[in-house]
Amino acid sequence: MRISKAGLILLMVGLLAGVPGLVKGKQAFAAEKKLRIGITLHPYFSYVKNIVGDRAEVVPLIGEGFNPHAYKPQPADIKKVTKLDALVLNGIGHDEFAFEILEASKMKGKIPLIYANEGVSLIPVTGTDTDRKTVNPHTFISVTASIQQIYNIRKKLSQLDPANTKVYRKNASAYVRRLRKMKAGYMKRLSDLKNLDFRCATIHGGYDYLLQEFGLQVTAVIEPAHGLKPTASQLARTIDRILQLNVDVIFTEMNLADKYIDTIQKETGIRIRYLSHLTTGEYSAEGFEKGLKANMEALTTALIEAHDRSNKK
Amino acid sequence: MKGHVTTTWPQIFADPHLTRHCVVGSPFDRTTGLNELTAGDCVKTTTVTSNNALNELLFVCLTALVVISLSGVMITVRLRTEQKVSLERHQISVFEELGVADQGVFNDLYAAALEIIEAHETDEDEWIAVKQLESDYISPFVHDLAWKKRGRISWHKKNLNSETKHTVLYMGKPSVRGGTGSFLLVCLHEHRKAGAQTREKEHAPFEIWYHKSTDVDLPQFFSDQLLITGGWKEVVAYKGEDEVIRLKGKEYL
Repeated sequence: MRISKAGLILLMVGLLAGVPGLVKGKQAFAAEKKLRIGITLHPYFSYVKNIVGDRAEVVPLIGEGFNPHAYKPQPADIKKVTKLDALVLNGIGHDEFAFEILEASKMKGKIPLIYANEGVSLIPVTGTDTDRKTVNPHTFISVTASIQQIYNIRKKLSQLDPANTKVYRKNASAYVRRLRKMKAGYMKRLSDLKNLDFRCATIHGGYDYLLQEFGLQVTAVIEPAHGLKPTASQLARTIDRILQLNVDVIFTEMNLADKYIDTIQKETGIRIRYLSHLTTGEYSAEGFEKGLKANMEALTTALIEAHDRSNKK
Repeated sequence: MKGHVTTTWPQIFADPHLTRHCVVGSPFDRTTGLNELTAGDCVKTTTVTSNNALNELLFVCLTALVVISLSGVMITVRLRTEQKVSLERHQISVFEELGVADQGVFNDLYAAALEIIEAHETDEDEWIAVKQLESDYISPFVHDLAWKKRGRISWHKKNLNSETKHTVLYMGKPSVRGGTGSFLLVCLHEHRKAGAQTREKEHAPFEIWYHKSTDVDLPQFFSDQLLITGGWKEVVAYKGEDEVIRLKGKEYL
């Protein structure tokens, strides 16, 4: 078939006219394609959701009902991780399962890992029975260490998704401001407390970062090591130590019912209050703020009570 | 355990060529029950020899040796030297060397530095004023319970901006002795023209320095040597990535 010269020119013009449309279509597709960001722990869902808003999808690696401390990877997790564009994890405790899933799915090295604690200054667990300093991995139970993590995650996500850098920056700043304001509200309630020598024991060594916000420290930790129950002799020693140290309050975990906590309460007569580990329940944008607010409320109330009690003496 | 058959009568002897035992004499035997046999009959017999103790010992030793060798190889292959953050003489570790109150100020200042730099990048290259940090509830500048418990640190700011480099110092010293030492936050921001080269050492976006004394003056300019001579120590944080390397090795970073 012979094509005339004029016909060839017309065909070329038509093709060239179609190119911008194709490019535009590709850009639109890229703009519509949202990143799928996996997370391992509940606070990271809240951090990431507040940074990305609706510009990316946040995917929890494990279901809501599971305890990350003891989670064993399921076959469905392997499938899930292969469809992620990045994974936000703690990396220094609580999400060991993520490494197992990465190994099992052969995704190690193939998916960008965002370590929330990269660049975060870590502190040791205080109040233990030993002189050895152990890293406290609970950076997500605090405002200050969370702010460091939010900025770090925001920076890493901006590198992966530069088109949304401005939005991520704006959202992260607003979220950080909200967290700081929440903390300031509780601090205001405590501004009149003078010469308070507050002493507390915690069942779990997870609250050093939270106490640090208030200029305080944990006096005694009851678990001999992370997640371990004390033996009878360890419990007896801890009870003696709590009594000697004049502890004002014992903080235990919500949803942690154990007989040894009742024994401590019975033997010491010290009031038990509850803090949340923030790694259970529903995944939601506001979950971290709600949980942290409850923790700050519990701590503030305990401080005011201890102050009033010491003034009555 | 021995497996041979003892016969007293009749006598059984082996025929070495035919590998069979033949009976001679009377057909009665108490132990073997060969009483049905008569002289001249032959039966096939098998001599069961036991594993002796030496063989068993050798087998156990060999197995142990294989297990130990394999474990040794696996340990060597998977061995990871524990990474320690190495410090220079003018540096101190916040994790190992500072007390709880000093750690608290450092961590607050560390988080504040991120906010100060973030604001500097977005707000026309201005460094936030101390008053502003205080009213924005940014610790350790805000006067809250933690501020009171850590010796009521008073903060002063000094701009050291040049054409190419923006530097700011925030120095805090406690008003009450016994709380904490003094802290100096140095934020640095390069403003290099495109393609410009410099021989100067690259600095981190910010540094935090510590002085044990509460009686220190705000430096008039910034240099590492000046601070070192003045008794300041650069504080080094033990960070998340250091712990990941300690736990998992560099392969996961």
